[in-house]
Amino acid sequence: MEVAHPEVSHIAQLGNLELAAEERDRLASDFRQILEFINELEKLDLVEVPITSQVTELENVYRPDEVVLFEHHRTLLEHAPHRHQNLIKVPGVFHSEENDGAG
Amino acid sequence: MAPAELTGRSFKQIRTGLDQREFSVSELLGAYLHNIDQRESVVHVFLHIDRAGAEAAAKHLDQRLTLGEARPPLLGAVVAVKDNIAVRGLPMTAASRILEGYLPPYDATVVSRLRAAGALIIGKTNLDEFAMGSSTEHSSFGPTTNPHDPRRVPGGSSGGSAAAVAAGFCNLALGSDTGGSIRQPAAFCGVVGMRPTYGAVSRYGLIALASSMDVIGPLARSVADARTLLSVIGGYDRADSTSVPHFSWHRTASSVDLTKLRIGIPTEYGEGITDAEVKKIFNKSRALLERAGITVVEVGLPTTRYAVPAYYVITPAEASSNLARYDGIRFGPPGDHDFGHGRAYARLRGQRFGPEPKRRILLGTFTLSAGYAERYYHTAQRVRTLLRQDFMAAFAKADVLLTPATPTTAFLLGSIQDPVSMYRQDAFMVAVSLAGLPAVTVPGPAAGLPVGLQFIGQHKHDNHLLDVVQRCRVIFGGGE
Repeated sequence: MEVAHPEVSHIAQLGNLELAAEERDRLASDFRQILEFINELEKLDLVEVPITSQVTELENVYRPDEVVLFEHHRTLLEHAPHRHQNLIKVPGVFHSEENDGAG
Repeated sequence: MAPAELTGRSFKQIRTGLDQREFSVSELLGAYLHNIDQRESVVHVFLHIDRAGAEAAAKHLDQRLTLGEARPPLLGAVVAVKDNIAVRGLPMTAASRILEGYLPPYDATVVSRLRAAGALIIGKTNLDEFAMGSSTEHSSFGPTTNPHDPRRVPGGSSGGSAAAVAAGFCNLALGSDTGGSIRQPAAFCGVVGMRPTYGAVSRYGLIALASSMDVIGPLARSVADARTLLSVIGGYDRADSTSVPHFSWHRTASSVDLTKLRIGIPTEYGEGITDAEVKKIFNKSRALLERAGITVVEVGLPTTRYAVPAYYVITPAEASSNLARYDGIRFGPPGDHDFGHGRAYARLRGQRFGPEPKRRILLGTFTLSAGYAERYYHTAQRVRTLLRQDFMAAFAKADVLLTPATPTTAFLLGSIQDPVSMYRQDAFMVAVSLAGLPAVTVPGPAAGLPVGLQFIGQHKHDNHLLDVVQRCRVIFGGGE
């Protein structure tokens, strides 16, 4: 199956990856090669075969919904590179009209 | 005592030496550090060495030995930990620039169990970025080389851990195995490596690659040592919902009646060997087992040729989802907020992820996207069912399966360039992962470069598998 540049760019966007043009070309070529390889699976007749999504033989793992204190919560917060008091700062999601280009 | 006299020993032998006060833990650690000073610049096993921490821990353990306190099972074990497993206070990057500067605030469950059992942690070992690879060449911080030949790769992705054991930099090591990442480097480096049954060892504190297959397991110089390490790290953990309750480990081998044992050889794996030396050693091993009175039978695993393509659908799909968390918000290097919501994350990820994580993010995002999930992801999950059924049928005829570990011996650095050829290196590894079975690789009776043999056990029969492998290793002439 042919995967054109616009498609790789679109997938990269979905996967939250900004790629330089040259890198995108190289990845698109790898991508085609890998797709050809996994298309091998189309040779199998799988209509009657059920799906296996996990191999634990466990079902519905529950535990009591209890609050347990995690002693390193402050350290966890300190790992965030941008903070404001005890909050984690992220880039703005909503913008005024003149800022729209940044979003 | 010369360092090599100590560092060539198995943990079992070391333990005897410590118990008889032949040497101290500090002397033992000194011997490993000596080897590291001599050879680390060539082998490049470590992303971080905790010299001061290990020396302090060794002193503390020596005091405990002097006081004659209770001796936990891993007392005096010097352990290297793959750098995708959290050790509190030691940097963890998974060999990726997207985690540069990250200091885990807690110990993985396996690490807290190691500490409680008296082990000391010498450092964090190199890997292919996010455990994606079969050669440890694709670390953002440079490749590890094979201790048997510095021109060759150690295998991967736990290449650092396998090379650390082989080079005498530690007694024992932890690795992780998604599609062969413990077994294949163990085979290339001539050490013992085990992938336990999926769910037998807690993954709390392991950086996730493909969650339906990831396991943590031991690398060691002997099967007995691997068993000891596993008996410490294995068992239920409420912090990992996939961990299997009531899983118990024997610390010592039980007796196996070799005259009743049936070892199955999958025909399809024999056909996949591309290297004359691997073929020779594999046939020799089979002959040795038969001569020892073991029944060897041929079994069929007809779906084998589809295992690698299915694996390379499922793993990227799960990886793309697991890698979504690296966005520079909660930990790791920061994104540039000036680029605004969305682009700040994409830019950081574009700059910091290496080529293989990018390939897998793209592939996984694609195969899970609307319109393609049935064609790719669900198809691969159906193949997974067939692979499990193959194994179940084979285990009706045999107790344990024996395969070569790898199609070739350790290959030269840089010799495999395209991704699909690298994926094919996992030909004998990934079906076991997809089926969730336990498997152990041990060095075969080879004189030159190590040739690994893989023994595959039945689901949750890890102890029995180890019993069999321990006996077979003696038959191959390996010391146990």
